[in-house]
Amino acid sequence: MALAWQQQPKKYVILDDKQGGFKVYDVESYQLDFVPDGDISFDAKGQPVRGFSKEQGLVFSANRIIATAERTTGGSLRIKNGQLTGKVVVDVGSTIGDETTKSHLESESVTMAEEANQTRITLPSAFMFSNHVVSSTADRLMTLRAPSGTFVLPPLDQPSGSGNPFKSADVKGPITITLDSKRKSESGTSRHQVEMRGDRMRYDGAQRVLVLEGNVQYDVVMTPTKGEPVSFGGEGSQVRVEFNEDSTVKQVTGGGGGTVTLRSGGGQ
Amino acid sequence: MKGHWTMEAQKSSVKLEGEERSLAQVSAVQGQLLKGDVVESRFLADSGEADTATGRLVLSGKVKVTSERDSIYLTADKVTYDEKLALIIAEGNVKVNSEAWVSGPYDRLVATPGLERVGTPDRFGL
Repeated sequence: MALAWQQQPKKYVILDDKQGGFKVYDVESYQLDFVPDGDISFDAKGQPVRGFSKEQGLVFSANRIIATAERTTGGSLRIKNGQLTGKVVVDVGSTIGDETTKSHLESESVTMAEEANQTRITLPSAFMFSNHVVSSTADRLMTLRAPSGTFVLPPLDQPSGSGNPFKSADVKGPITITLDSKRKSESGTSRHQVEMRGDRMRYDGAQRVLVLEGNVQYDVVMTPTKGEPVSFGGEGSQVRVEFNEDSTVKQVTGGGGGTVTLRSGGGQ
Repeated sequence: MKGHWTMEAQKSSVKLEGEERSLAQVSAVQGQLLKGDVVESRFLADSGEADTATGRLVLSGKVKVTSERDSIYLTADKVTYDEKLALIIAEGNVKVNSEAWVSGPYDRLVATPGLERVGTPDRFGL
């Protein structure tokens, strides 16, 4: 029999929609506030607290979650806004048609807020974000590391399915970004492998353009459907990445008066 | 504002100890928790014990407390209503229920009498 000081703290389920669609669990200390027939605000602590919201394609965990849940038209619950702190891990996934998108986020602090027709994710501390889009024509993985940033997404339960990782982003560096983008066509598969560093990143979802600025370094390996890979890299004040509608890389352009080195073959 | 309660029962016994204390033990009990003249919630239980000296009402056995202003209710093996703290302390297989969701089960939970707020005792300074 365990001694009292060895006993693990009890863990509780603080919200369960009774349909398997929403749950917040593994909670050790909690407070819930109920608005009559409306929202439920909760403040939960655990090691960590875990939860999921299937309508939003959301799985999350953190040592502390302060959030508001609201009832959905389907009778389940959804996260309306939230502040997660301490070993935060968030996974968001969606499938529309033949396109599956999975995003993964790790940080010490994440704030999520619903705005008119969009969701704003604020990351005031160092984070790692990855986004993987797979479809019949595309397989694109992007990984981003930075000290802080803001991302704007479509509403979590209304993914756009457009191959865009997010509607917009503004990230402050130093930033490291890697892209591995494969595009399938009748003639074969082409590939872009990109590594970039810079001081600031902005992404415009409408234009499907990512711009990295400030002390930029980049290396690109392009493998065509036929022929040998070509690599090039550069340094400068800016690099611009344009994406196709299926999320694959269309073009990488260095700019800002820096140097570009073209290398034959796929490596050094 | 301190809370108070009203209670009705099928069977009861009352013991008077001097002028300042009465102990009432009742079975098949139902009643209300109030804030001033406002009913915060209504309760049902197999049995109850009210102590006017301590200001505590203890309900035992299939206890159900239903919020007056919201479609949520609390169930537990035992509920203590502390009149001085104006708080409910629920123990034993405690759940907070609504049509759309359930919270719990918990070993112990503290709540406001109208069930607007529930939480672990540390959240209420206990």
